[in-house]
Amino acid sequence: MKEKLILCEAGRLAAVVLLIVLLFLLSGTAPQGDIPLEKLETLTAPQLEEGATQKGEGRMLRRFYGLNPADYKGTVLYYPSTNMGVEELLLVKLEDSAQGETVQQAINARLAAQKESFDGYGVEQTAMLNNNAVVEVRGCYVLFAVSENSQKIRQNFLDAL
Amino acid sequence: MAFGNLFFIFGFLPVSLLLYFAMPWKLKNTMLLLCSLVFFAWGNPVYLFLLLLLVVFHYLSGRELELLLTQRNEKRARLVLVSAVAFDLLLLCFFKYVAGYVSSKALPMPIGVSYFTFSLLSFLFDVYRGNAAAPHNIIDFGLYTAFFPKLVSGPIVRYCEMEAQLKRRRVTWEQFGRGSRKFLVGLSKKVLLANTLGNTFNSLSALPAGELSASGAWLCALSYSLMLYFDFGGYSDMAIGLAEIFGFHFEENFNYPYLSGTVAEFWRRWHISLGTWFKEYVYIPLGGSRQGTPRTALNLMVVWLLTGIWHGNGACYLLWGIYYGLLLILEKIVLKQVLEKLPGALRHLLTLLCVVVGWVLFFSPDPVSAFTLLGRMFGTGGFLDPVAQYYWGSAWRVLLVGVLACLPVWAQLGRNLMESGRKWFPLSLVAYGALFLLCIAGMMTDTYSTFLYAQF
Repeated sequence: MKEKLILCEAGRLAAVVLLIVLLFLLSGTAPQGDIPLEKLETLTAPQLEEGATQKGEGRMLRRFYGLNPADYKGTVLYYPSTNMGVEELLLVKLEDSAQGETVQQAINARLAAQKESFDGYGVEQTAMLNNNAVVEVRGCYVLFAVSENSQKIRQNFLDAL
Repeated sequence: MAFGNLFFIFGFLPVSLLLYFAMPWKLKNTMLLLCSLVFFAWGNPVYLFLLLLLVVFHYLSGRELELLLTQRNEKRARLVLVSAVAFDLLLLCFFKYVAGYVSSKALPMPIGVSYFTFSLLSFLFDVYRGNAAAPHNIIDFGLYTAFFPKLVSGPIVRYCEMEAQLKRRRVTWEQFGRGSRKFLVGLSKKVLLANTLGNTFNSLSALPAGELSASGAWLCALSYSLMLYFDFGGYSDMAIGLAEIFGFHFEENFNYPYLSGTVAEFWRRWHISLGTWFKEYVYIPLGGSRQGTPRTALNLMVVWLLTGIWHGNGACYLLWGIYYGLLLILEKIVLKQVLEKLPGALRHLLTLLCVVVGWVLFFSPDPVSAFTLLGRMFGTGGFLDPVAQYYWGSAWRVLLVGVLACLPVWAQLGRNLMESGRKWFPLSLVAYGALFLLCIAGMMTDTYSTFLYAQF
């Protein structure tokens, strides 16, 4: 009985120590905490072609993505200025990384809808959507970009985190 | 991975069922545990280690408690209990309230952390009180902790309720059918009702609260009240149905809450597993209502403050907890005799009014928005405006369907159809098939939407 008690006590202690170590390791590998969305915007938005996009308010986020801006810490959206444009930028700062899946699904739906819209007649737009769309989810930050410079936007976004 | 996801329905679930039913009885729990771990790891695999370590820690704590209680070493047993409970609460507080704010690194919250922590706490209390034996099989205990239907958003099944089922349970075709129907009904609530109501709520809540007229503000609050019920109630139905498919029986988590005649009754019918948890492990140990009026009032306030804090660290959750604490003190102590004399319909209306006001506090991002919206609801900004007119015009049908769906008549009708023998069986089969197809169509066309209570 006494040996069993000692074993249980030692096992409990080891589990606690391992849990604390795990939390330290996780904290070390987690993405940066509080980066203002404005900073990410200044690093990514200038890469969009001038005049091709306009900045959207919360209701545009709802219209294009079905997302409620109030659910997130912050959102930035640049959407095409014309009906024939596809260049776009979306930055989302999540309340919690668990929301990442929802946002990613919404982005996928938006991308699929855009591809369907231009399928068959908008050759350039379709090519842009197929080849120049990037989606990144890093911790509590999400990026979606469709642009000639999408790789540069992606790199700037990742570097900032 | 969420239950309302096409991959879950057409990928994960069939594979899990196939593996589970292909296994001999002795390996069924192992297989179900493996499936649950895959489910848990799907979103963020690193937390798998956290979950496994927590299982080991609690398994050993339970064994140690049992050994100490056998030796009648009460003092040391209490020390083990207190240390384990303190560790759980610290971990929960760290993830819920500290990790994302104070740390220079943003540590995401593990899915279901509030739910599995409360399950583990119930295990410690049950073993300490002698309501359940400490597990001697870590696989069974791991399954209790990680069982995927209840992992993300409950129901918070207490260990004493699941202990016997982990060792022995029957899996029959009848249960399988019952579970599948329950799952489908839950899916319909989520996809067809909650998501549709969510469109109205999302549109209105995106507008500044100060721009809404009374009718717009009421539509916003009512659509949220119904959406949350069908979202969380639907999720709970799906979880209970899934558990039934695997041979487990879980108690209902919702029992037509909007039919309640008092606020206390509402909370006996809404999120029953959380209410039961707080009653069993906080309210009753504090003395419940047996130690005089002032102490009862204090106990109610403590429970509701904790319930508010459990949901998050926002000021609105705290306010919401205080609001319900005060309401219950008023209802159970101060105004008890006055309320009892009121006609039933009036009491019902008053309860609904209190609940809808409560949801405004619950969903608002901050107290200023909450009070602005409440002000608008009660007439500080005119009755009707073109925006409200437009949204009422498009939403009244789904609102009406939602109100009707809050009644128990449909569940009774479904049961009657299924139990009416051969005559109506094909019709019920067609009805459930159609419902399933509608849900799939809804899931394919709608923007993906997660369950509201998964964030807690």
